[in-house]
Amino acid sequence: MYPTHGLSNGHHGERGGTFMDKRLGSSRRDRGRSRASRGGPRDSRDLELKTPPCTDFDKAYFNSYAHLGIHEEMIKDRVRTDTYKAAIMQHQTYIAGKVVVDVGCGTGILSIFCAQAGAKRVYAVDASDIAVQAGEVVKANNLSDTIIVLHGRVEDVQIDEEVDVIISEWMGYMLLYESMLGSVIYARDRWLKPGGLILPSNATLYLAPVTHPDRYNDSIDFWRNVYGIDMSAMLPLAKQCAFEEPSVETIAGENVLTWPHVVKHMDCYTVTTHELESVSTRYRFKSMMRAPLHGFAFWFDVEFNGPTVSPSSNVTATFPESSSNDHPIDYCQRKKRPNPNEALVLSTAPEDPPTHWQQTLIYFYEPIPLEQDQLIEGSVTLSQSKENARFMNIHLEYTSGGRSFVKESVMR
Amino acid sequence: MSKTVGQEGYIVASESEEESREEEEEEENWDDWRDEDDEEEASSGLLCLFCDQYFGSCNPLFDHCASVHCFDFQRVKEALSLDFYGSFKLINYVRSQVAANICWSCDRMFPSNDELLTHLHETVDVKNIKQKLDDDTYLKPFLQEDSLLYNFDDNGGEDDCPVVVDKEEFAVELNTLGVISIDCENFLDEATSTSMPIDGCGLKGDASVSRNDLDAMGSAKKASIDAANVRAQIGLSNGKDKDKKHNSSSINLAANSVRRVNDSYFGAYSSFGIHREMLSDKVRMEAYSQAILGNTSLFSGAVVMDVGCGTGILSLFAARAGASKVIGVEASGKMAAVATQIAKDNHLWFNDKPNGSDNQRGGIIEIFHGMVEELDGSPQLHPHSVDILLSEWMGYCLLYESMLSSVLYARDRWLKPGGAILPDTATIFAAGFGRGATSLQFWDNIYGFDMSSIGNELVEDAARNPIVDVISESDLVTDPVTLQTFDIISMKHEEVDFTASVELEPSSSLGANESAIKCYGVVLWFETGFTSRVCRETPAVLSTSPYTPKTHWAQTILTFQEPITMLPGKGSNINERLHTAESDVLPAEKIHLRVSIARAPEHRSVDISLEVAAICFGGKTRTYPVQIFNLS
Repeated sequence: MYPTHGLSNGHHGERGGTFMDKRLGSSRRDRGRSRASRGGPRDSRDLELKTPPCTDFDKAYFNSYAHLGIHEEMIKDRVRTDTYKAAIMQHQTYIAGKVVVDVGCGTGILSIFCAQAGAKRVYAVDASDIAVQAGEVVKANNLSDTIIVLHGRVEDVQIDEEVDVIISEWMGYMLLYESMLGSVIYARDRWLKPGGLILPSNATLYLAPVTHPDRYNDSIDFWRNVYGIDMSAMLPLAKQCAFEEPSVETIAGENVLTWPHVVKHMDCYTVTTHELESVSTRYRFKSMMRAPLHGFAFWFDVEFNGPTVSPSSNVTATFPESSSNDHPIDYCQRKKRPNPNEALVLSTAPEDPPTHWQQTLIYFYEPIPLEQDQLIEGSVTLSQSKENARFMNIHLEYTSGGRSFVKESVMR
Repeated sequence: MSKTVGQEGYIVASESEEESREEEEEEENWDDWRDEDDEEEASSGLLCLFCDQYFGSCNPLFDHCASVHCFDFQRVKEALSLDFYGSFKLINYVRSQVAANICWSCDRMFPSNDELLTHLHETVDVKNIKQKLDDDTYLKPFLQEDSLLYNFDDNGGEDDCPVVVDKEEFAVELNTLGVISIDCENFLDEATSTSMPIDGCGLKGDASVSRNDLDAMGSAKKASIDAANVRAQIGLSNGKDKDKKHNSSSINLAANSVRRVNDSYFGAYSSFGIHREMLSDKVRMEAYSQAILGNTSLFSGAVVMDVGCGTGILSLFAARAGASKVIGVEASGKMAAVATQIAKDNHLWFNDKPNGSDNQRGGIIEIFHGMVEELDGSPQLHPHSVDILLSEWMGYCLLYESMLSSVLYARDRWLKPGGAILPDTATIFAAGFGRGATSLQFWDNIYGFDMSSIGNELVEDAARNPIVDVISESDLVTDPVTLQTFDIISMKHEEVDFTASVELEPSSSLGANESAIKCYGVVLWFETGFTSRVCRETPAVLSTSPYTPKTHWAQTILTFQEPITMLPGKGSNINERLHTAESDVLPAEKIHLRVSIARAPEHRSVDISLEVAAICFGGKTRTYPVQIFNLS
């Protein structure tokens, strides 16, 4: 309910974008995510536990989380909160009597769940001023003996013991945008005991071609007849405004043209910050229907496996950039990897109940007509923007029906 | 600069080259290209025909030209049925026009590139251009080393899968062959029918081609097209293709104006969303359309000025209502251009007679680019010559970022004595709201845990920062009161800033025996009136209240530092009920508010000061510290 300071795909104007955001749906800033612990953009290659400096971006980012409205939105996202709660309860026997660190604790809700599950001690860490509120909440619920709120970056706070469990809700839009995973990695390498538990245990980012005539036409056709007046002159501007940048919105399963491709699978026990700097993959889709291709959608899921489960390593979807000329590998035909352990999954897929992450859409200026079984192939590279380390560059190449395109967009 | 954010288009030579640079390193043929790239990053891109953006390939460039500069290359090409040379000349023609700050389609001259770029329209007279393109001087590349001339797609945009073709190789090749004219179609046919790998597609195997990840057929087609392009370049520029140095002066020139272009571009871009939002605001649109279209006797034959016309929708309404002349004034250059175009596109709307385009009432709408305060130089406009002043000037809380002072300026300068202003009144209202309008309830119980401390923090924060949001009628706990009324026809400029004192009383809908209520703050909203003073046929009201359908203005929420307990019922059984009211403080009978709204030092933002006093039963008054809200 509170104004947030952000950009929402150009949908705000000189008349006070500050206030416009919430009425127009999600502002991306609603859910900025830290790169505090990404090791600082430039020295993250360094795998040692070197403390990165807190940049102005980080400060702005942490400040954005002091706005409580964001936390309301996140807590109200029942898919998110219920799944975390269920995962904590599922691993209750492991958590009971153990030491937990909650990376980016926010209001402290996950720390409280862990305390409820019988944790001996929970370190709730958040660099944002929300930590002050988390402290109040802990007190109000008589959990001060169990939960220790630390107001500071994971890189800066002092915890004088090893921990058994790391819990974190670190995922950003399209998983990696402003994600806090780097902080989780830092905490893991610094405090986690061998054989410890990380929740969630792994994460997967998906890509799929989508058709969305309603959205496309709504953005375009509006201008053809405004109260009986032809405003087609606005069309070029309208297209640019509507389709130049990635758009966070909710689509339905039927908008997706075929099985998704795994852009990146990450095992939270082994992933390194280096891997996150640039993610690149080749894909190959076969449209299951005849429809106009309007763009691509990204979404993700995370799993909550126990510590004894050996990390799934059968999915290899990332390639060094140098191999981009190789033949495309087989794309993932499965929506979800087999899950023999009945691990809980928090999914943000279009066919699953909507979450505050929604999906991230990249639209084309002009749709591409697809026949059934028509191939769409190409590559996608996600990397940190040079312009502003907080931004993510999305480089999409796609070829279909003998035509090839490149779309560069920036998630701001 | 060589890469532009957010463009899409065909895979381009320069990019695939970058990727495969390492692999290609040993190929000597590439030396020239690579050296050049290392020296001058921008040289790997294609320069926009109009501004100084660079693009990796033709299609994003042409998309950009179409969307930003209203120059649709393919459409013009098709309209003129241009062949390859025609297209080649078209590019050079447009570049030469732009360099002279002359519009490519209407020949209008502008004092600067910036102004040229804000002037845009669809092709008006294609024939005129067709004639110009007959001039063979445009066969000469206007820019030396214009990469676009090598790369533009000569095949209707259907097979544009470019690959890099070494120009020198082709030069040698073509010179050897002594061929200046090659039938492109034959190349295509041969390439496609054989689907041969690129190296064997009939280019004597000497073409050095950077393989990207495209299918071979597309590559082959494009290779042949490039061959044609390269040939053309060689044939027409006397082998200048070997001169790898870019025209640095033109690049510098381009760089100099990049920022200015971006400014104007982003200005328009950022305001785009609001135009759609405003036009989608049914309450707003219906009030204005009723006030304008419902009062044709007022508008018939009138001279109308639309202050801050935006897309020009109100000007178009006015024209439709019978105005003889409408002057739209818009400060944003881009929007002024768009409004002009929309007025043109719709000129049949103003045609009384269904036939005969000559007979149309064209020229009704004129759009002035500038602030209304800058109109004085205009020769067509005489002071006090406007019959009706029309404007949608209202901002959040009426006055935030509002153009009211501009409207008053226009009134004093341009309106005839006794002329009409639409809307002619504006009123700000206030009412108290209860707990339901806050987030407190939400935080009381989160998954069984008490997070009310966060709710309290939120209320504290809201006591410092105004919130613009939609409030529900059911969350109001007092009756609404009028805070301030403006008579736009007679008000003075300094009256835009005001202080008003009002008293809020518990909602009259609350029964005499209701228990105490808590008022958490006040919500402000406004109404503008198109009253029967001016709209005699059909008066109208535009209301942004919580009692009527929501608008894009929503309401403005000012939260008290602490809630004030009120007891409804006008004091009936008061003593008895005072005992039952569970409160350590005496409940209030009413709340006294003193509200000042003033323009803040920062342009277009407003400061709202709020003084609150609880007037308790028995006459005691409890005052609270002054709160200052900045709406920015």
